[in-house]
Amino acid sequence: MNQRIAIGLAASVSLAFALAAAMASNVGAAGVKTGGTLYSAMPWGTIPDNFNPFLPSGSNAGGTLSVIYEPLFYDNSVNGQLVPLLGTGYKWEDHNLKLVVTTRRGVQWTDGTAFTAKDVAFTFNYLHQYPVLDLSRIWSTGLTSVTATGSNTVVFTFSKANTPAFLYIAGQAVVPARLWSKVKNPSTYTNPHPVGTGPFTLQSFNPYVVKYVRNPHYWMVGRPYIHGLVIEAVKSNDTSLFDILKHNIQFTYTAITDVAKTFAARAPAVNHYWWPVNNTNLLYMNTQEAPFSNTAFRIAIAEALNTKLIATRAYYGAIGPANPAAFVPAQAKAWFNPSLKGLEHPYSPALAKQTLKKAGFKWTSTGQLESARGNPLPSYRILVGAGWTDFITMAQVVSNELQAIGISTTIDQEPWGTYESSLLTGRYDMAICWGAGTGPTPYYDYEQSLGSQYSAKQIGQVAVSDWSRFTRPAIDRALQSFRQTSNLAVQKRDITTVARIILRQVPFVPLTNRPNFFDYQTATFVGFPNAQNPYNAGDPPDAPGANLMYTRVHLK
Amino acid sequence: MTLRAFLTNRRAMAGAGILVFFALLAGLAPLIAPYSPTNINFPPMLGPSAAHLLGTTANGQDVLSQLIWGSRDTLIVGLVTATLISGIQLIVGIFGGYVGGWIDEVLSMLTNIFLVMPGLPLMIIVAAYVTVKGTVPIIFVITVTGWAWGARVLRSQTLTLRSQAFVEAAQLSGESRWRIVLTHIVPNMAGILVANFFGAALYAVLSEAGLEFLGLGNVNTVTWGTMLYWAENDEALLMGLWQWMVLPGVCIALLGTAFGLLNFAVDEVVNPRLRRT
Amino acid sequence: MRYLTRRVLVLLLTGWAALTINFVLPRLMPGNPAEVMLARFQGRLSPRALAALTVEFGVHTHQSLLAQYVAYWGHMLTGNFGLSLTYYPASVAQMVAQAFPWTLGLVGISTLIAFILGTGIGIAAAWRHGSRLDGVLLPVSLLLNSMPYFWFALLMLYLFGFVLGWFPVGGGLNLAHQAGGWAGLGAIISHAILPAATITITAAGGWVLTMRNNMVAILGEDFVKFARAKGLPDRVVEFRYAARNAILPNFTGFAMAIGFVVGGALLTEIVFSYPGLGYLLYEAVLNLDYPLMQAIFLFISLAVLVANFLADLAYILLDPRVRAVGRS
Repeated sequence: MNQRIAIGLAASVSLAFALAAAMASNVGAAGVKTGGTLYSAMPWGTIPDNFNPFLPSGSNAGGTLSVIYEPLFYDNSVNGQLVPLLGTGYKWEDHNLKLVVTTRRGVQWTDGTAFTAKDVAFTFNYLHQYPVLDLSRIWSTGLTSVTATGSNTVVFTFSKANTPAFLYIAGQAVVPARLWSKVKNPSTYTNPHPVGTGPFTLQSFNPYVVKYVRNPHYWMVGRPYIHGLVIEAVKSNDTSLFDILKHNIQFTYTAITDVAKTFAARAPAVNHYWWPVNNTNLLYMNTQEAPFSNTAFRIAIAEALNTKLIATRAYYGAIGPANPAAFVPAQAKAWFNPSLKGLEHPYSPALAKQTLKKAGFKWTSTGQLESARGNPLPSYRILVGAGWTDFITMAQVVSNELQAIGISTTIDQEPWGTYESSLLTGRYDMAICWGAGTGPTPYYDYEQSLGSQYSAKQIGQVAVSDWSRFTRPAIDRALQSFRQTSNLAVQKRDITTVARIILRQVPFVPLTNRPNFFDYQTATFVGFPNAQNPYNAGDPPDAPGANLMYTRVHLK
Repeated sequence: MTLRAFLTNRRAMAGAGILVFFALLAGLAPLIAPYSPTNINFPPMLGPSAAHLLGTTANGQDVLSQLIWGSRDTLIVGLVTATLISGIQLIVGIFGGYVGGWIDEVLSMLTNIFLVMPGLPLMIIVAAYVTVKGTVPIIFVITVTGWAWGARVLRSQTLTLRSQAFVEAAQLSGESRWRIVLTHIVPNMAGILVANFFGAALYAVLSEAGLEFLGLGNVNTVTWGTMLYWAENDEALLMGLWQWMVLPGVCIALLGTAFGLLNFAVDEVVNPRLRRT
Repeated sequence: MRYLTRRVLVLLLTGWAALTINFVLPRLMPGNPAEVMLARFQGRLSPRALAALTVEFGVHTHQSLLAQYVAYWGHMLTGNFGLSLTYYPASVAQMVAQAFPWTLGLVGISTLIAFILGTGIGIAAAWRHGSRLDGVLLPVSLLLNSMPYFWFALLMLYLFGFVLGWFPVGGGLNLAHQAGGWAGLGAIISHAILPAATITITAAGGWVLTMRNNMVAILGEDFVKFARAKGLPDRVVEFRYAARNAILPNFTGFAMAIGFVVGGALLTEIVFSYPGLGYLLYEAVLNLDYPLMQAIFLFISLAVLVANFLADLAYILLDPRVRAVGRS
């Protein structure tokens, strides 16, 4: 065993996380075959020649944030577990205005120098100095200072309590102060010789294949077991599917159509997929526009949609329908208050018609819905992104079901730029998109998608993440209360408050669960995450969570 | 006389036969298609059976009904676009080429600009701006990006004809420019015009399929292009639903072949030198 | 000489107009690169990043359109295209330089092969026109020419790549053998065969058709009949008299095709996950990456314009008496 984890530190606070126990069991000691190279393909097109960890993954070479640089902690968005990486423990003090993080001892940067708490403090202060790098907006959470108070302690001070901000701090990749303090323009620096703490180092790069080789001085002694890692860029899901079916690669992150039949069933012993849910696909409605501003109309839409059928058609049974208040299944156990059950809107076109009737809507002789004044409603557009067939399929089923209650729709497939811009500026009727926030508790999605600071007053203005443009003071109050406390009971009450408003007012209709699309085959390597051993969230090969997989996977 | 030549031309008959077949499918779709092409309530991914002769799609639609209905919008896109393209080519290529001077300079510069303008971004912009979702923007985009090459060919052909004796004679007799174009130039280029028309129709059908494949098409209609888009995305081949993937492509290829055969036949009829000896 | 100056002037004017359109078009698109990024990551990038990315990409630098236009011309003329936004902060020049050799290698060579093959078959078919060979070749060429390219490519990939396993299922280089030297060359070739074959097969049909028709028309001309009557050997009549004259319009078409080669073959690149300019442009457009988009436009426009210009010249230099029966 190579790690001591300060469980005690964290036990005193009851933030949403359950700190994960030791990262690994003793498997490493004996009986595990070492060596081998793991292959993966990502449908990203071309790999950027860039190893700058301050850019979002995808803008840097795949692996930068998963195998070279490491964050303090990894939060498992599927089950809410927290895995210590460069941090070993944390605690909130001083009425949640002070966050104390202990950092790991005995960690080396790959250039041989020692990693200390100073590097951590440097990284966060660097984000303050260059706000362009602060992608999670850590410095807008109320953070006022970050100081290393010892060789392995960092103190974060806040002006106002904001316990959920821990997640953003936990996930920030840490860079060596010695090297980055000399970088002149960090946002355009491509960092050609990356020096990190992660389990691998860069071996070779070309725009189509990037290769990494094992870091022999990695802080987990004896890890990783594998010798090398290769990530190839492909241009279509078909190629990654063919590649994994041919066993050219060991894993990929691809939403394979009817994955059970096209992939798993072709070699049931070795082909597996694990699509853990950590988000929700929603039907957003533009609540600043009639008739979607009408609550009864929105409720009728919720009642008219058979989310079970929508999920089956979009994901062929691999992914289920969404919880009506957008709870992620693994988090529902801890956060779903059974009293909410009674507020859900069951699928019933008859009920939907009743709701509409009560609200004054009428129908023409041909069955089209018309307003109380007798004006037939126009055809509404359902916005989807170009080529996202799961969303288009959902839209087709939604369209069919809305037709049944007299609402006609057309599917509006837009290129990404237009899609996103329409969604943000409120120039849409209905749109299918994912939940705006992902995190270990429902707070993150609720805050991003319903917090008034992310909304906009009128159509045309950008609503950063409140895409249905729905706000309520009661929601803001509940979110505020959640932020200020580390008391789980209070936080649960706040979440229930928001969920209740969602169910009563239906700012959006949760359609299906949204998973990570992790597909793998165990012909040569084993140790991948799965439902029995969900040590990460089935993360893509370039996301921080994949780090945990690379240190566990080994030859069969 | 020409009609007779046309009717006895084997290629003409084969081409016309295929085209008429598809036109009938398109016209009679409501009568002969077993189901609505957008009905998604059948069990998905069925193989061929009595109820679904060509099986169903991954979204539970009847493949045969889609294939039959698909002929309608595919033909509309092909023929309407070809008409528009031919019209533009006629004006820009023939008229410009005939009148010459600065009109020709401007028109041929316009042709060259459109020739070099990459179509894809234009398509995306149009897709983003046109709020009427449907077949119209698709036709518009294909027309705008597709007329230039043919116009160039027509222009150079016109330049050749312009200097020929019969045209000069007409000019001397004081006929108006449009009249000369319509009565002397156009009839002499009938073959090439018809060829351009069928070429444009093929180009339109293929472009529509390509646009759909890139996810820039119109998902609200059923064409052979949208069918291929879904078949490809839903891994029809891996699912063993080959008929879903193969047949729309075969239909497009056959339709294109029909256009091509007619094109050849018209050429042969108009220009007897090309006829079989 | 006066004619040439005129042509050059027109060429420059056309180039200016095309490049101005290239400047205007992307700016008509709604959205901005930072927003596109959110869509591109499909929920994996938090909307919280929007503010930072907006600054990063300089989305809200309020520069007047005129100033942007002047700067744009500065970039176009100096070849300093700036930084790509999709692959920020890689330079546009770097991205284009990476993709271009692949495009040239694959699309260039396949276009050349298709032209030679198609023209050759066209000559053969025309010489024997009316024969059974001609009767078969014609509909077959039409059929090949009428297939949706991506559909044919997908079927080939499925059959020869996936089912039979004769060729790799995608990529420019095999994952496992990123070797240099002969092994590397072998890998490159084995990856190129399937995409090259599909381009060649679908494109050759078109060349067969135009060449055959031109040639049949020429064969009916008096000077060919005369050559035959003179008792010249068939080979000489077929190639020196008929084919040489019939190939002119095909050359124009070929010049244009070479111009379009620069644009890459988007659908090929997608189906076979092959590196190249087509996909780069596609990504640039989808991601509203103006700098990258404009640079690729520039190359395409220049290549087509120059090819066009050369084709014009070729027309003048070579026999102007030849009837042009070129079809697209």
